[in-house]
Amino acid sequence: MVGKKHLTSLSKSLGLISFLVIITLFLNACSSLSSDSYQDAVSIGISQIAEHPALDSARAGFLDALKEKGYEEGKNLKLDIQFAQGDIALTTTIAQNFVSQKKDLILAISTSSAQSAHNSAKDIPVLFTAVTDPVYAGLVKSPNSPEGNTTGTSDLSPIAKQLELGKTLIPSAGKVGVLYSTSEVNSELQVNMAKEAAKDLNMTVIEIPVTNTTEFEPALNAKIKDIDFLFLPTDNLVASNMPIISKIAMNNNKAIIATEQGMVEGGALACEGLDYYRLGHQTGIMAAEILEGKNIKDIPVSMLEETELIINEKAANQLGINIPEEMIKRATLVKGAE
Amino acid sequence: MLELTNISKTFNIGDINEERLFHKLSLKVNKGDFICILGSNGAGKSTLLNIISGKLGIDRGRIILNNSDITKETESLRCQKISRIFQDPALGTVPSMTIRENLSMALNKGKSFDFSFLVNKKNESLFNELLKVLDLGLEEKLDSVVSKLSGGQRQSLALIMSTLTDPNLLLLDEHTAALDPKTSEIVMGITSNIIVDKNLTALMVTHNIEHAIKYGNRLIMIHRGEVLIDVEGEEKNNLTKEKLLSLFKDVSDRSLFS
Amino acid sequence: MNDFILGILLQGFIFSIMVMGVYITFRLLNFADMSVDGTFTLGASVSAILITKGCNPFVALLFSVIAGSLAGTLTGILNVKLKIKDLLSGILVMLALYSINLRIMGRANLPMFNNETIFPDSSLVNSLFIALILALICAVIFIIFFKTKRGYLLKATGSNEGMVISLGLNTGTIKILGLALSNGLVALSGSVFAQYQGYSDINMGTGTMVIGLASIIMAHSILKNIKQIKPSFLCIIGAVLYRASISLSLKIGFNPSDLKLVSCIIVILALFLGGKESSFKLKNFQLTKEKRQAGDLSARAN
Repeated sequence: MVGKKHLTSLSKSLGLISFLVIITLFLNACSSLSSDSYQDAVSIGISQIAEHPALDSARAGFLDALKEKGYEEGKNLKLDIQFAQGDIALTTTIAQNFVSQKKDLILAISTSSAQSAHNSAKDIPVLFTAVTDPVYAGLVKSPNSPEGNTTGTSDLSPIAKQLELGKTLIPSAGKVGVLYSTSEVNSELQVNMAKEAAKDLNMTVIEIPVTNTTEFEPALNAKIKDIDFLFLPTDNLVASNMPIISKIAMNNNKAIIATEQGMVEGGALACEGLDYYRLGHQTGIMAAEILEGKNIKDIPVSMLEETELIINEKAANQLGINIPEEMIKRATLVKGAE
Repeated sequence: MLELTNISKTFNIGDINEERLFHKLSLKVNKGDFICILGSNGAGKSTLLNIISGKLGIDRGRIILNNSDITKETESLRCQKISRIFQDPALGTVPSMTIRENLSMALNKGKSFDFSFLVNKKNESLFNELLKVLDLGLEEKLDSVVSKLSGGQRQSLALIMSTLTDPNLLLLDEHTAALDPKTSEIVMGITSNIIVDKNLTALMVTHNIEHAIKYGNRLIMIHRGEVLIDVEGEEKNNLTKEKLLSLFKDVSDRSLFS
Repeated sequence: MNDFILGILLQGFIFSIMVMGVYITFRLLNFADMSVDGTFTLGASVSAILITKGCNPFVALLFSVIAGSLAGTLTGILNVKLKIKDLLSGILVMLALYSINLRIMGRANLPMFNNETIFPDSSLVNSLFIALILALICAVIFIIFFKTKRGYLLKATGSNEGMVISLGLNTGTIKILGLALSNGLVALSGSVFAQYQGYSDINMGTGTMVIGLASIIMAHSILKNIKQIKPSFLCIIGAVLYRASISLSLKIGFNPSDLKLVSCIIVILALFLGGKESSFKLKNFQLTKEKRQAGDLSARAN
């Protein structure tokens, strides 16, 4: 008897909640329409696939560039920042919402966010950043002529440079372990590039694929002893799991060569890093140009020219690796987590 | 109609709990028999029904139904010829469906369940007739979902459904035990009528001695896996509760020493 | 604002096809089929690879349905023939599908931006129309199928398996049919969604099961008192409600990951409230009710 009453009241409250949800939906939708129209404000939607240091730096760089060009939040800029927390379907919802809110410009950080934005926002300029290969992802026809409403900056890491760095620091290295996520298309590309580059350096690549966070430990432990150093491509899953990766590598006395600063700070030895802040900044400049009237079709995809040598001194010491003087001179030294 | 020959069944073979329930049990059931099966708990009454219906396998022996050997047949295959009603009213019908839908399903037994529509207006009068006989007012509730019916109503419906396509054998497994005394009487009455009207062969396991005496043409008492008492015809008609109990005492005392 | 609502409806209709599939297994068959996360992506990947190779997008839909049905059949075979428990069968197939989907696409993410899909232009209204038609077609097929004898058999198998056995039938084949049908629908939904978002991605199926269950429970709790609502329409309404609550929460500023927690809670409630008729708690309640109503029965007879 009590059981049944409980069930009914539980269902009733669920029903009530859902009903309230719908009502608030309407009210909210109506209100946002009015608040959007304060004078001359540019509204920009930022869609980011997940939160982690590199992507966050890119966003910061983007916003700073806009500020430098005179667009500041609260004054003449209205920002809407949405994180999809890795959920693909959510990126479409976010993009859809931006379109329905008639944003003036969309910044999509990372490939899935960019693809969803590209597909949904046919009439709104879409800028991407932290996308490794925009052509492969279908975002642009070719880097020089985007031919659509989408362009941006690519974070394709100079893989050859990274492996060279590894070979310089560990001259005896013959086998490079490449750790990557099978779910990220950007990683596939980099693995293939690594294989090519390794050949030229008389090294071979041993692939260490993982599909989710829990697989890092077993996958690494299985292969760590066979490799001479570990290489980490720009990969969101890998970037989010630096602690376990650097722990296992350090326990086995293997150096990690990475592709971005966040990873080095997380325990990798060194990288020829792309400064994501600068990448985002470059994208911000593009945004300002578009807001000022430049046609997005006239803006080719760009990459960062220089890389920054980033070295984790503590890691070097722990591994007993001697870093040549001239390298230390031109490098940015970071402390690292452990 | 049904012949069990030298049935042996042991539970938990090789275990500490190994228990030999049936050893060379034989039983012959004639067409038209309505047998009441009595026995103490653990005597093997329900197990016997499970063995016949195929829910449980046997170690040795043969089961012949209507002249064909069904020993190796699966439960669902046997169910094409054998119908069964359980103690739990929830088991004999599909609770989420209406009476009409349940009856339609039962009516289709033995035929193909293909892509034609289940519910057919043509069957409406048949259903009405079938339910009127029960005198429970169910004919006015054809659209009711079965889960809303009482236990007695459900068992009655289950009885109709399981006998709709004239099974070779009807197994009743304490089917009134979960009902209150009044309802129990009503359902027993309905059971008896259906069996007699259709001249069905039935085995009824019951704890209710009055029912066992009142209904059926044959009475069996099982004790520790053995058929100790088997009376039919005149002898059964003249049975009283006292006679039955003293019979049981004699026989079980003897068996204690065997 | 109009676009906002249209977007919700559009996604709702697309997902409603998947919800119908989940309804068949979880609600009707009482089979916890965990493979749907994989089957959704399977539908997407099959269509994506075919479309990028030049196949007609509607034909691609058909192939996705077939692929999904095969996956469902596999789950069924694991459960029925190899006697692997339902949860585990689904999980095994879901795991296998991850690798299979990667192989089908040849890569983790396959864009269809330059190919013809069933959505000919980016007009929300046109897309909505197409999605609505597809959802309605599925709903109608759903309704018709469950009026047939085979459909009833499926419902009976989930409600009282013993009943089906007593009809002299093998429940195994019915379960496999149900799983094939369900996963065919889920794959269809995945295919449509991939064509809608313009690309297929190995991760797009994550959370499909939770979305499906949450949609069903939301609709069920609101529409409980409307007796004659058809299950397929319940699924459509539920899917739209779910998408609405997600979009709304994004607007308010909820963290999407909190949303997943809420969805999980809704699902736990779904499994608790929507259990089999013969589950423990409900069974005990039934017997008590019978004893009360037994009075009715005898009063009537007298």
